[in-house]
Amino acid sequence: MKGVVFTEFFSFVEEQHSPEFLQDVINCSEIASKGVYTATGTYPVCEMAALLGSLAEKTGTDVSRLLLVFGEHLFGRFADGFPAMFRDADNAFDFLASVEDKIHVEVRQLYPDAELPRFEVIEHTPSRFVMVYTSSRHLGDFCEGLIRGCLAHFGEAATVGRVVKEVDPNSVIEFSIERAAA
Amino acid sequence: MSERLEIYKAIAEREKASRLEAERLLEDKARLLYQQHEALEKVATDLKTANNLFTEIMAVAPDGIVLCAQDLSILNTNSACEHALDSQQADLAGRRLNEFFPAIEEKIPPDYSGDFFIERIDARRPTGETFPAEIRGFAGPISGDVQYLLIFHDISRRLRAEDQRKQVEQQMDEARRLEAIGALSAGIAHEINTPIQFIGDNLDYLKDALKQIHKAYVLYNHLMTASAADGAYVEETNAIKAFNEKIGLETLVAEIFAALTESREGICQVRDIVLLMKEFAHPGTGDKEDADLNKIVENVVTLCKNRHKNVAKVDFHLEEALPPIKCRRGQVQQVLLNIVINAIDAIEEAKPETGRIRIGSSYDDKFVSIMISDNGPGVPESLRAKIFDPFFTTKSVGKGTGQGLALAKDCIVKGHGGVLTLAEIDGFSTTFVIRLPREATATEINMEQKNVFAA
Repeated sequence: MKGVVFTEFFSFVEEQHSPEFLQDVINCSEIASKGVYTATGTYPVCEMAALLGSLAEKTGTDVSRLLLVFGEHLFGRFADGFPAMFRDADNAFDFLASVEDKIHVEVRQLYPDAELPRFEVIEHTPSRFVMVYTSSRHLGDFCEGLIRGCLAHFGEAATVGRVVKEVDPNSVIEFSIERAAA
Repeated sequence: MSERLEIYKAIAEREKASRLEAERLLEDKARLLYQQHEALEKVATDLKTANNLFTEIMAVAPDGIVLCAQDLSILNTNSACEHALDSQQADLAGRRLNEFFPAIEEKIPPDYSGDFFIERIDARRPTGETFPAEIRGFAGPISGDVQYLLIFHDISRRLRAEDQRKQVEQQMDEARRLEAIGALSAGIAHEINTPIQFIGDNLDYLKDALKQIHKAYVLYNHLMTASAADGAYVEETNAIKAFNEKIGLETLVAEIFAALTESREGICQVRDIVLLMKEFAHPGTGDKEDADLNKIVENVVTLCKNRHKNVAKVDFHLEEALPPIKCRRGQVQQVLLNIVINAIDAIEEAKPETGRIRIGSSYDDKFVSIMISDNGPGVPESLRAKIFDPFFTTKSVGKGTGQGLALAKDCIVKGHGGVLTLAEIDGFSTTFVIRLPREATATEINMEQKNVFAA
């Protein structure tokens, strides 16, 4: 998993709680890296799972909820950090439609070894957007958080539905986004 | 307090470690970038080298190279192709291959079929001029839009060489045949010569004997006349007279003399022809000797009498005082025979009302000349420059190798320092003039004996 997810996760915990709390989460996670991450590095996804587990334990919030909230948070950070990626998208559906062919292409240019999920657009109308998420990391909640962060970024109200198509070996989840009537 | 201090120390250590980790990653990334840059530079150099190599190959390849798309439109060509098709690359690019190789789409295999070979196709230049070519190619796909690679080779020179080889083989066959005929002729001439000799001698003897018998008959006649005057042997004398009148003895004797004379002349002709056959079969050692060109002309005409007697009338306009010249008699004889036979062939082809061949001789201070004219179809102006070229012939296939006049000119010009040309004489369509120097020139080449029979 890219280091930027870890560093943003740390920022998220620090903002929500405190640096001391974060250090406590790290200490409790017993991860090999001891929380030493850089945004450009690549680290085992199991360390993220351990960190999330510790955070869930300490906050009493379940991991799914944490991933969803962290996803929303991370999208906002991306929007601040990479404004060029949003230059050609006027709305959330257009942006989501460009993830596979544009955003991921940009990411691969910087990080050729990046293991990215696959997004397949099934339907794209002004009112409805259907996409299928496929990943070996089983981060459907995180993905939903990112989708919700996207909607929030563009200030759009919509309902997000999800249907799990497959669980093993990959997570295959169909997300249906219905734009709320104006 | 101490617990919080431990936490801050841990945070500080993590942040420091993170910074070091970031620096390490940066160094790794910088190293990776450097290595990739190096690799890219090498790739760029290799690409440049490959491109230079490709350009050079396209520039110096001796055969035409054409790269085509699937629809057989031309994508790229090399210098040899542009030269062969007499076109610039810009004029070739985008054009269809069949504009330069008509109907090639019927011969080229479908793509994915690999190597192919087109044994012969007539390539066409924009001027409409064509040349034969063979094509070796590859049906791809190859790279990018390139579907076909064609390498063509102009085979006109090879085809000409093959034609010449066939003609030389034909000529060799003819030469072998003539050699066999020559050997046979020599044998026959030798075998005929002896009986002809004794037949001639016997005819002379019979004629002499008949003269004696006739003298005896005259004496008997005197006796018979005297006996009749004396009135003796009247019955026997009358019986002899009656018998002589019945058989026409005087006429009979005259006819026998005439028959013997004709036979003698005939035998002399046979002897002359046999001698000529022997001469042609053994044309000499190649050394020059004094020769009477008029005599050679007469011999040649005699030799081919059977060919010309029903085709053309031969008129001689020979200079009686023609001086003898030193020449290779056998060669000159063959050249003359060649030209006379050509004249007979030409007249046979044109079928004029009266075929005429005129052979004249003359001389001046430097040259002795022989002119052979005929009233055949003549030599068209456009072919006059070519008739002495090797392998040039207007005769039908199998009738001539096109070597006769070339070798004749070779023999006269190089072998004798003379001249063989075409001339114009009123009343005749073709006139060949042979001029031989009265004195041998320094430019003569001591030639091997050449067979110039193969006209």
